[in-house]
Amino acid sequence: MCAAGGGKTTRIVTEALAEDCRSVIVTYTRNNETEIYRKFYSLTPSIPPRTEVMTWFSFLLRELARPYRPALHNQRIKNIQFIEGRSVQKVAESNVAAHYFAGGNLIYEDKISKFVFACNAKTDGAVMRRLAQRFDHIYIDEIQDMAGWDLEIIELILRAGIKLSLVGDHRQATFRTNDSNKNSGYSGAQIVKKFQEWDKAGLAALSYEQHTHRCHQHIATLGDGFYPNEPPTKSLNATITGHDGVFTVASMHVPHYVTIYSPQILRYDRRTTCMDLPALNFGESKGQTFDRVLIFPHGGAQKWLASGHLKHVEKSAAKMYVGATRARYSLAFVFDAVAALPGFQNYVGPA
Amino acid sequence: MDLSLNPDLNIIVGNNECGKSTLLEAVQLALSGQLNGRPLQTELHPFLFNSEVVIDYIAKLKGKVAAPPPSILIELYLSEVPELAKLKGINNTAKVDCPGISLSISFNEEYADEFGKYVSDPNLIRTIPIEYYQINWRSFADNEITARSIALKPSFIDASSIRNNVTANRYVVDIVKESLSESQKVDLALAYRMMKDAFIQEPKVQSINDALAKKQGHISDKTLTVSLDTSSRASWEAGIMPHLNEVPLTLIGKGEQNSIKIKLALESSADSHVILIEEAENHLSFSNLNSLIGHIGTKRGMRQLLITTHSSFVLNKLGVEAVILFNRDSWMTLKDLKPDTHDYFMRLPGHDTLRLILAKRVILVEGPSDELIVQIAYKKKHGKMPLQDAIDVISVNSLAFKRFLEIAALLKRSAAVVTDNDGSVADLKAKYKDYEGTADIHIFYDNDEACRTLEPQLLKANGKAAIEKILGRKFTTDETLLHYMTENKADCALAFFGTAEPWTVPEYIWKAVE
Repeated sequence: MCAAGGGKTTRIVTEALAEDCRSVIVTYTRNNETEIYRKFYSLTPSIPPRTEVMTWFSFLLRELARPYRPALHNQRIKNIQFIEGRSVQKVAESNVAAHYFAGGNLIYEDKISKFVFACNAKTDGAVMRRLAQRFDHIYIDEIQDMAGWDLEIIELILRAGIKLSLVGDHRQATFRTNDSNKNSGYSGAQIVKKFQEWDKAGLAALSYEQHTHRCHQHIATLGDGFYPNEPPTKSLNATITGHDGVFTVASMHVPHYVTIYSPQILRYDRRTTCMDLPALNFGESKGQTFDRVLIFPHGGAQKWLASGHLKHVEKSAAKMYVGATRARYSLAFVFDAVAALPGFQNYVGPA
Repeated sequence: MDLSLNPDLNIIVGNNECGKSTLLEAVQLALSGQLNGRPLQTELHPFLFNSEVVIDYIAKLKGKVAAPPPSILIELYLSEVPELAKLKGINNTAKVDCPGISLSISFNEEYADEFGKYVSDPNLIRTIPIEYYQINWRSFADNEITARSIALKPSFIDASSIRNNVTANRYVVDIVKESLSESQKVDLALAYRMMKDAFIQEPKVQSINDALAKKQGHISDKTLTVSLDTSSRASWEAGIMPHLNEVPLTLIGKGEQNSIKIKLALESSADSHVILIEEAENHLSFSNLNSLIGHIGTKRGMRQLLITTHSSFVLNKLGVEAVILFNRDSWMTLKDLKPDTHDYFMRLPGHDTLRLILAKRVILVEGPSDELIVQIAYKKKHGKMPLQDAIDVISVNSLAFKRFLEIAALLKRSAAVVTDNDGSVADLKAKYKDYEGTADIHIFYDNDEACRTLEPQLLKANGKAAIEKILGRKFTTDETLLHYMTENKADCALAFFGTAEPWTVPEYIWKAVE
């Protein structure tokens, strides 16, 4: 587990490049995938053919579900059926076509891992045997996004004895690969409990990286504030730019502030208008780094700034944490009062 | 059809039109996605389908009998090596868990409506409606594949299909290209472009362009100049010609071209794992073929080689044990024979084995004189020699009859045996009891145990006087005639073969040629 800006991606990319074996880096979102490619090309002119990069869903579909599909189902899996919430609940597993598939050939997003699990059982482990022949080392980035049966698949890989490196930050659990009720006790930041169990069972070794290469110490500390029970993060970024740390900016100064510092505008979601400035939602900003960030706080975040009470952002803690930890040098909130939190500086606009 | 290949060398032998080339093309297609050097999509046409299947399908449509549209399926089952794990799975018809490639050309169900209208009047249908077909090229893991995603590269050498110099040249350049490294290719491309750029700097070319420039306004308002085509379609591949002893390769004899191509393909970087050679013997003299085959044998290395041939020489030289006898929907290897029969053919010159394989039908006889009599008997009966009807009369030691019959039975070849009774019909019956009542194999002999061999049979059928006329000499008794005939078997047979005198063919031979 790694703090935001701890260099997770750099670390796995560097390791994959250094190792002379067939490896795959799996990540959840397409944005992360792009980020990994970008990281590769910042380190090497060409990605060696022994290393592959794919999204979690294409990994599930292409490497795990399709190869042994005939053992359970008689129609080719054309694609994944992405759905809001949970897919059909009342159809028994024994009715394979209706339980797992929409139209017989689109496999439900929340059941593909379950299907892989069943396929592996039916074929006496052929799915995992193939995977072991295919890759010497599997890296999974953004591990905190895994949910439901995905965790069972990861455990199968661990038990199959394939070298597996999982990296992520449970504090950034803003996405879920699916909404299955399987393993619901391990959702969100609770996923770390699963890792602790694997550690205890000797399947994996859990370790924490508590430093950040990205964020100024004040920014890192503010981020830590969303998870008071977790160990504090140490900043390794000592660069001084003249505008460093955590700020409040009054609405009237925003245009001037934007002109001077060109921050990336972030928001909780699109319901926050941000004075029509081009903005990114917290969730989308995951995995990205900016020199400076200006956040337009949503209702809960405004109450948190005013009171200093965490209860106002408890439900959005993961997203707040992601948004707050994107900046290298300065993090500012558009706020027309004094923040009731330590470490804040007030941006003084032009006279 | 389900064919198992040897891991190293495979010599595909079979008659014309038996599907040898189709086999090679199928392997090449499944590995490269290309047919005739172009993507399959652009080469898709109704005649790719088996004509008998098509005729049957159309007949069913006309007869209002429900039938699925014909399809083509090629599956390559590959070895379990880590490089191929990506292709592994059970998405194949045998449900075997191994790496593999599946290529299908089949009806696209999305066109069911349009297709329904198309077949509503079956009398208008002549061919498969390929427009409603789709190509699926997938791994056994059920994922779409591209030629790049297959860690297995084929080299296809088809000397028989070189139609003109343009395709020949492209083909040779392709093979030369394969043997160059990436940086050599870049160097060549760069040198070629610089050469073109230098052309326009030539003082003579410049003065011509200056003169042309003066014509501005006569032809066009713009300036006209000449230069070489430096656009991408005029890349070095189009302008470069491999030379052999400074003679352009396309002007060298076809045979030499052919052997160069095969050698180049064998030399080219270890990238190709499968080498497919179509009729290596084409256009080659015997001695050149000899050296080429030697070359193939030594340079093949660890690569899997599939070679088709009509040449018993190629077969003998590369090893009969690698032979796959191919015949449309069936095949066999000599390994399928009983061990002692297998050993017998391994020692035999490949020529006789090949004759049996290549002939449509065979007549097995006991020796050269029987061969001549059967040949001429056939001509008496049918007005032409047996070979003109693709019937081969093969003379073998009678002890080997059963070994040949074993191959004939495996290949479902029609075979007749013409044999002496050697004084014991019972022994003969016992020897051939396995073939009694079979459809393809028939044994012919005379029941008269007093006439043990061919010569007494000829005497019995024709009498002393007629034979004296044919031989052009007189004998005192039947016994002295028979003694002479037996002592001079070949001369007598030749006399019967060449005579203008009338004579009667012994009944058992007559039945055999019938």
